[in-house]
Formats: sequence, structure tokens, C-alpha cells
Amino acid sequence: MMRSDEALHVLSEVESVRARTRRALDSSGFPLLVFGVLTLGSVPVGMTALSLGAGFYPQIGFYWAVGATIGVVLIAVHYAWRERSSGIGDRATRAAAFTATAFAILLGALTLGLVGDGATRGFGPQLAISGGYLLFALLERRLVVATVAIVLAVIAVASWLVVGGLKAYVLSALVYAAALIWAGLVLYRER
Amino acid sequence: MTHPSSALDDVVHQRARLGILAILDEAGRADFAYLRDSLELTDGNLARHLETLEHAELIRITKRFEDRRPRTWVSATPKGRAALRSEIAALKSIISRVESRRAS
Repeated sequence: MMRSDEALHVLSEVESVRARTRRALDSSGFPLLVFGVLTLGSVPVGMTALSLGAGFYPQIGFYWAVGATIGVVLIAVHYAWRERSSGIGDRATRAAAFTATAFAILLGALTLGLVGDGATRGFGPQLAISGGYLLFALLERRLVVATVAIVLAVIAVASWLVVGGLKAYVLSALVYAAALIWAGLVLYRER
Repeated sequence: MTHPSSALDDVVHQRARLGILAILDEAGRADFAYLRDSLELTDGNLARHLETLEHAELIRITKRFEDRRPRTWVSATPKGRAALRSEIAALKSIISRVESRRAS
């Protein structure tokens, strides 16, 4: 018959193995970095378009459609490389999680950034990225990513309500990019 | 009343085999080298545990060539995941039984 202290010891060992595995699996830093850089890049792209008389929002919408696609491909390649090099990971589950997240971000960025108007155009892409990352956080069970996603969504909407217009997009994009890059670097170093 | 430890599965109730199933349950799949290093086992030792688990249909082993080198991937079957869950439930039941006795 097994004693309770033995059972407790075995359970804590199992939990410790699980925790180590979760740490080895974690690769949420890279996607945050990619979308942080993309968000940062959207500011000079929009400003350049404005100075050339091409219109800020149409160019931003186009930028996100192309940029998010490139970002999604980069992240997919990173995931595949990580799995091969670390020898751990579930390709099917990861692919499902990744496809769902990428679809949410792309759909959101396209519908809000390109066809939306007024407020939705201003914070649309950031809101779409937040939604995508919230889904990603749920699938990957990462509380840090979920918190970042929610805080950034609040910042995007708040900056529109407080500042408004073009400045709101620029302000929230800069805060957004800084937070994504910071969180991405922290998670990347933690591995 | 039967003691909860009678619910423990002899195949699963072993440190290395529990570790293998816990990793596979968390990750979906892992290769031989990862399991060996993570659980600090020798090649031969791990191979024997994998053989036992595969024989009990708790894991699936896939061998393939990647970059011209052989690589062994291991994944848990639904039966393996269920066995791990019931093992953990049995362990928790042992603990709670003692705790409830102490409380009363």
C-alpha cells in the first residue's frame, strides 16, 4: 500500500516534469517580437504615406495586410524550426493554434483596418492583434500574453477616446510596439 | 472499502514511465533524445520503458529520417493520456484519504 507522503512526492515530481516541459515548449516571445516590430513599422509607413499625399489609413491597411502575412509566415517557420531543434512539440495542436490565431489577426486587421471607418480604423489593427494574441494565450495557456493582449486593447481604445484621430493611432502604436517588444524580449530570454 | 492505491496501474506507476507520459501529455510528442535528457535516463533504460509503454498501447513510436539521420518521435495514445489521468486521480485520492482521516 502506498503512503500519502510517497503519493505527494510522486505527484510533485509529475508536476515538476510538466512545468519543465511547458518551459521547453514556450515560444511566445518570438511572435510578440514580430508583431511588435510590425506595429512600430506601421508608424513611419503611415507618416510617409501622409507626407506623399497617399492617405494614412489606406496605406496602413495595406501595410497590415502584407505585414501580418509576412509575420505569420515568419512565425510558422520559427515554430517548425523550434520543434525540430528542441525535439518537443505537437505539430497538429500547434498548427491548429497557430492557424486560428493568424486567421484572427489577419481577418481583424483587414476588416477593421481596410474597410472600417472612424474609430475602428484608428485602433482596428491593434485591436485585431490583441484579439489574436488573446486566442493565442488561451491556446498556449500563457497568462503573461493574455495580460499583455488585454492591456494593449485597452490602450488602443483609450488613446482613441482621449487623443483621437491620427495622433491616437501613432500614440497607441508606439506604446503597443514598445510593450510587445519588451514582453517578447523578456519571454525570449526566459526560455 | 478498497484502498485507493489498488487503483494504481503497475505499468504507469513507475517514476520514469510517469515522467514520459507527463511530458507527452503536456507536449503532444517528444523525440527520444529529449525524453532521455529530460528524465536523465540512459539510452537502454529509456528504450526499455518505451517498449513497456508501447506494448501496453499507451504510447506510439514513429521512426523516420530527418536530415538523413534517424529520429524517433514518441506520442501518447488516448489510452496513455487516460492512464496518466487515472494514475494522478489515484494518487490524489490517497493523499485526500489521509488528510480527511487527520481532520476527523
